[in-house]
Amino acid sequence: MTKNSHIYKILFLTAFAFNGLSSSFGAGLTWWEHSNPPHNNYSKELVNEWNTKNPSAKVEYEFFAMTPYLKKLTTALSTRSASDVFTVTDSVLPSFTSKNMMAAINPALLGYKNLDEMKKAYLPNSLDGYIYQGKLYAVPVIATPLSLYINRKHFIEAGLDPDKDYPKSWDDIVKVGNKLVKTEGGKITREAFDFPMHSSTWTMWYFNAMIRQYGGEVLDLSGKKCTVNSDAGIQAMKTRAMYSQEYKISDPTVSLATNALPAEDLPKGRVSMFISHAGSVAQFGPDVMKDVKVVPFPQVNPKMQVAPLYGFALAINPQISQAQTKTAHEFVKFVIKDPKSWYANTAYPYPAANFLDLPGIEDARKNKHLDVFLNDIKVGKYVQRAPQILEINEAVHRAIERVVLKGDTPKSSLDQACKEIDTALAQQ
Amino acid sequence: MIRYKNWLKIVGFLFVLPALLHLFVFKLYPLIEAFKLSFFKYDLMSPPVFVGLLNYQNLWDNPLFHQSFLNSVIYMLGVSVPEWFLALILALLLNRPMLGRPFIRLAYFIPIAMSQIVVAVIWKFMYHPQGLINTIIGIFGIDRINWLSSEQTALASLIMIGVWRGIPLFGIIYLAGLQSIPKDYHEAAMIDGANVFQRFFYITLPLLLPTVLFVIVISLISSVKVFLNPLVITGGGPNGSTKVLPYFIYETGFTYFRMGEAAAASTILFILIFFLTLFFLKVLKKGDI
Repeated sequence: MTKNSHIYKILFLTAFAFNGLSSSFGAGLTWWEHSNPPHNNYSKELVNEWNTKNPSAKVEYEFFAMTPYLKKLTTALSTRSASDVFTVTDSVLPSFTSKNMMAAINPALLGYKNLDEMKKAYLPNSLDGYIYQGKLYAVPVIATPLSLYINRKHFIEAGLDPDKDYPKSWDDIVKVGNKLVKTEGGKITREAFDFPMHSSTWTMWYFNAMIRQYGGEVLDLSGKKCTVNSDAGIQAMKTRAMYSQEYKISDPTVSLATNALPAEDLPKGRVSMFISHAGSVAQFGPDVMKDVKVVPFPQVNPKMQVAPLYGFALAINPQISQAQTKTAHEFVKFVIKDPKSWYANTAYPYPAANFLDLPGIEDARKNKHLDVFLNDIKVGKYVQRAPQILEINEAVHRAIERVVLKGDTPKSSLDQACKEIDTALAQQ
Repeated sequence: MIRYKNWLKIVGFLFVLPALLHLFVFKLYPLIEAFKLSFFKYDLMSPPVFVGLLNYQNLWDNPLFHQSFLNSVIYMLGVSVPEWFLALILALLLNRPMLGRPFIRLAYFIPIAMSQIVVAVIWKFMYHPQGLINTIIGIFGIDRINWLSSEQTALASLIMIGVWRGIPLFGIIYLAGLQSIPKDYHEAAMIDGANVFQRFFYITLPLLLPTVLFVIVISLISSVKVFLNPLVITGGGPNGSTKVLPYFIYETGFTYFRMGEAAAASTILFILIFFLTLFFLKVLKKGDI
């Protein structure tokens, strides 16, 4: 054999090896998520399972702390260095979609005829947060409402029956709250009820729902003008403030100072009723939960129910090849294949239409208040959409602080919020 | 042939070259880029668009920027001024012979050695309405104070943390300055009959002046850059009362993705620090210190 033929062989084998390597890179995927330990552990399990079944299209998984994650993702998408699949929260729409940073999801590749058929497989409203201009941009992996957690022991001590006397409306909270509150020397030592105050995002989740219960919205239909200072907004703010200002059954300074787990005041016995998400069942643990009951989010009018709703979903990078987009759809389909496992591993409900009928879910329905969460999801609505949503959240949060901490009137405080929101909207 | 003197210059330059490169690449270049960015509208997602002075105009029109600027100035003075005096008192006390002096010096240094985030979380617990501080003041019959949830007390609460953390650091710097003053001067003055106050005002203070000015400049600069405590403890609230300029910049840039406006606010913060430093350097020069 000549020297040249050896060289050709080596070149050929090298080219072959690199060709194989590059094609495996081409078909493989990367997946980024925010940090949430139970969620991340289950995602890793799914990735391992997928990689075993699909050695030619392996997925590399990474997760990052929540706050830097969104910044990293945004920067990476703008510099074309983001992962192929990424998990997002519903509020990134429309900022991401309007700038072509998320690929439209093809329901057919997930096994549905079209989007309408896919919607039928999910709880009403639960896909709405991920639809923009008639197209779906992400597939939910978890969805959660905010519901009302009540301390059974406190209810019984106060001569109330937690199964019958729990509040159904905002006014009911005052009625039972007067019996639950504890004071000493004119100061509240145990609050009857409180809202979370630690984050503007949480504030907007529940306050947007309250405004909607009064028939209003934060922005007008065009999304370009603030309407939070409408009659509905003012009514919602009056309701929000009455527990601390008028009836003295709530002390917002406690919730404001409790961090990082906002609902911590409930297991610590500092408050008898508190609003929180479905994940708190797992966060509190069975020992705490045996004395806690979860009831639906309070309403203004039982015939016009609205509950806060938010979630996380899988999105696909629009910058990847067609072949990769197809693989990404297959991967998304694989990840959402078992809603019950998602719930078992993350403690957040999966918004599938048949979720409550799945075999093996009975225990959760009986012991983990799953029916309450699912019913609140059914009447749930995602926060109103705007690219400047975070600034809007902050403006509304400050408005609430001015009213409940400083004693400003709802009208003047919401007028100021509207000024700030309109300025933010104008800068689009 | 390179002459020996020139050769020394080249070698000297080569020695400082890594530091110069670091200065240019990681300090000066980003500074210039940030200044450039302040004339563009940029949200990380779309390409930057030149907007001239619009970002500065937006800042001027934004009441939150004015509030943040004012909060920064209040915080800077609120933290720095007590630090100058209390750290000096601490250093003077630690400079005297006393039982267990090394242990006491070490104990005072602990706040600096602790992780800043841990410190922030501990203070947040202590400031809770049902936390340690209110429990202690309750023993003395003082009513509960809403440290972090009142606009009147929130910034003051952060200032107290800043002072608590800054005193040991500047105390150590003062201590080093005090120990460099020859003892002979004090001994001679004592023989001449000078009392404690005379010795302090006519010997200690004049000789300590370079250290005093150093402490003033560094404490002002470090306090105007405060960021972590407002972020972790109050989130800038309530109602923006603890939103300082660095927090405003962070929020504008990395939460609202208005990078140009954040860069413009950074430029203003830079100018504030620059002129503050320049002023004190002038004072140093004028006093021939």
